[in-house]
Amino acid sequence: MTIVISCASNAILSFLVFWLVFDEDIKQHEINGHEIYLAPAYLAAIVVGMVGLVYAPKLNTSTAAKTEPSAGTLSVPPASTASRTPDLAREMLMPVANDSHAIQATGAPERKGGLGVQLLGMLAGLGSGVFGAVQYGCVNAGKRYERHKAGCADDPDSCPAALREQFDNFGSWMVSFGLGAALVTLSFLTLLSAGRRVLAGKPPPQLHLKVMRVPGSTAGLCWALANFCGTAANARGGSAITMAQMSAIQLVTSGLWGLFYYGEIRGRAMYVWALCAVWTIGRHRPARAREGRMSFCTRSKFWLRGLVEC
Amino acid sequence: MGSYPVPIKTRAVLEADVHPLIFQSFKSFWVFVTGFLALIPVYASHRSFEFTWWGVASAASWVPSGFCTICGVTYIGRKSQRASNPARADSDFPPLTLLRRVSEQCR
Repeated sequence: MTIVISCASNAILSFLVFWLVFDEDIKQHEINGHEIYLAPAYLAAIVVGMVGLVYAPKLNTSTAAKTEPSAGTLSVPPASTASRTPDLAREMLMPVANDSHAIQATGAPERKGGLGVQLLGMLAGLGSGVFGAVQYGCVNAGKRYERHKAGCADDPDSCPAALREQFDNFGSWMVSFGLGAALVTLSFLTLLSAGRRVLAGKPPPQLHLKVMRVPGSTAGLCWALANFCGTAANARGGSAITMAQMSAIQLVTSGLWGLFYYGEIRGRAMYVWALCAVWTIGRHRPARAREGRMSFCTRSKFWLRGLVEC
Repeated sequence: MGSYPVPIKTRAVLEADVHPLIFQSFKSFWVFVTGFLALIPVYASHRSFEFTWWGVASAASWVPSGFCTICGVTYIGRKSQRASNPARADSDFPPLTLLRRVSEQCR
């Protein structure tokens, strides 16, 4: 649910702000002599697909609960047994994936899923989506503002070389962003440490360098690469459309990990999930005005590049 | 982007109960380091680095966004579901395990 709120709010906010406020070009379709925008309908369809992607894996749980009335009270093998027979354990744990006993069996930290926590999760998802939209929006908004200030808004090629360099995704922009990321994170860490010390008398949070060394670096590198590609896609395709594509493909990628790696999605849920994935990706019809003039070959390259970038 | 939470859901990380901002710090560190790689083509083509505060503004939104994602997804959302799967939670380096699984399937 958190993921869908994050992705949907990100996609919708980016689309509305950059279409209505920043006046990005959106393709108009002529139906019965009327010029209409189909992009909002595609966006709604993408959001429906996103909801389906998130809820499809839960089909197995509900099916199991129906066929197995005692699913909620299944006895879960101890952690040692579970690790010896992972497949059996997975089979047994699947129907009660959200059961607190199942979580305890793995020894992983448990968190209560009360209304407050759920609400907090939704707020976090919303915050993630809104801030994510602003992050990529800064690229285009900044570029427009600086071009306007330099008097080259209508003819970007005539902008000063320094201005073009500032927003070059394969050059200075990445360095400025990296410096900004380091500065902002350090500020947040300082604030958090001071807050913990002053308000709760606690020490600063531990770095867990030994534990986080490999997974933290892998995640960081994955993100850095994704951010690089995302910024490039955003600069090329505009925030209004690209953000929805990125959010949807992010959801599909997460789902593929769940499908092939975690084995979370199986049986009927797997087919429903695949259908939702095809639906979500399939809604990415050309929506920007300039795509209407592309040849089939160029358009194919555009979408292929978008897929690789996301 | 959809792959980056995967390494964080390893058993060791879940058990250590790492603060979301610490996780975000690792991300920021690598964004900072890899950002400097972009200087190579800049200087190779005899251009000069041009700083912009819009980059900092963008990062100022990215850090809270990442923090919210980690809080929402890792701590409240899918964590319990993934943690309840001991077969996958034990693995230390997901890409290698995934490759192993694929090769097993192909055999």
